[in-house]
Amino acid sequence: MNPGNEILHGQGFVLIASLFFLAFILELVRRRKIGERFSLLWIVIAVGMCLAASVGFPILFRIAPLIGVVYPATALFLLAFLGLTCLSIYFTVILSQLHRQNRVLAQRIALLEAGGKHAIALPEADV
Amino acid sequence: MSKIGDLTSAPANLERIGHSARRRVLLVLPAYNEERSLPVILAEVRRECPWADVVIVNDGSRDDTELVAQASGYQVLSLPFNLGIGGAVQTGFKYAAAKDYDVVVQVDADGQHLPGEVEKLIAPVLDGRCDVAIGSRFLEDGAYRAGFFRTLGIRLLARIISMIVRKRITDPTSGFRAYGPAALASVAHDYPYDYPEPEALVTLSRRGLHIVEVPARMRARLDGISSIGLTVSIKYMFKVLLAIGLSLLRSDRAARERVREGGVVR
Repeated sequence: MNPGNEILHGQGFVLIASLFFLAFILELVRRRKIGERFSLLWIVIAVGMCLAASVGFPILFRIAPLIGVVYPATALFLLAFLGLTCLSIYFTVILSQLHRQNRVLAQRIALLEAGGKHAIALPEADV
Repeated sequence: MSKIGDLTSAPANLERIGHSARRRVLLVLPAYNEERSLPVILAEVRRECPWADVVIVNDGSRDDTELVAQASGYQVLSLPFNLGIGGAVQTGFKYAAAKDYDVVVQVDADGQHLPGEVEKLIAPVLDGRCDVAIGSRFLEDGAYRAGFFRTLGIRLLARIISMIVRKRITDPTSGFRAYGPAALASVAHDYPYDYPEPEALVTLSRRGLHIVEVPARMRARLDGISSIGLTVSIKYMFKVLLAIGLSLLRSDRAARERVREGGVVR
């Protein structure tokens, strides 16, 4: 296969895969498996992936030299890696908040079951 | 798209509201850092709606809202941390559903909703003519309007929502609403987190509940800055439309069947 064909095949595969991914995300939203806050996020990501797969390749070729990368695919991996790292950090922030709130709830339940209602009506700072 | 029209019927019979054991009304007062407005609203509620029960939901306030609420003698629900207006009001709904109230009315503690208008609002629900009554600022002239950009945004949103629910809605962002038992079951079970009013409206309509609008006067916030400019309105509308779009995507079959059975949902 000449290089042009390979690139076309690669692009086709990625496009089809992203479309499946988008369908998967939409089904998860429909079945209410993804909460309100994250539905939009994942739909945007899935749509972004479809766009990148369909029209993004020429842009990728132009970006690669700008960030000092020889092979265009490496630029793609780099961007994907950065994106996933940001996503991970975002989830960590959310997880941390859930941890804090969880502790507050657990403590309140313990206090409630002990019968001390007035002692616990304190506002929690930064939860 | 037919106009629902305002339902200015005869005012609800106070005896029927207050003394009949079968008709119980609950006002839900969500409050977040409203130590200054809350006492004013409570005084108005005592004067205008003495026949109603009240539950104050303190949404994790950092100021003296809790003290004011506890001093009022009304039932207080104190959230351990801030959930936002959606979560706070839904707490009140769950309380109302557990206690089997006939009508539940949301009255914001910031002063925008007038307790004097509650009686007018609950009339169609008490009469069984609808499941939800929305107090609309835009059904009569001379009522308090929001700022220019805000009104524009609300009007545009109202057009879009009217198309989706196939009824004329003029004030989709109004939280001043009265819920009958079937609608209460729906919102106690599902209520959005952010900008809940328009999305909840669409959800209630899709579940087959009958919604009407009642002209209601409102006023500006009693306390605090009103900083609704163009950018905020645009962001708000964008978020609301997206949220509604997503909610339309989600499957509602289970909820619709619950409503159809007329069963009690907790």
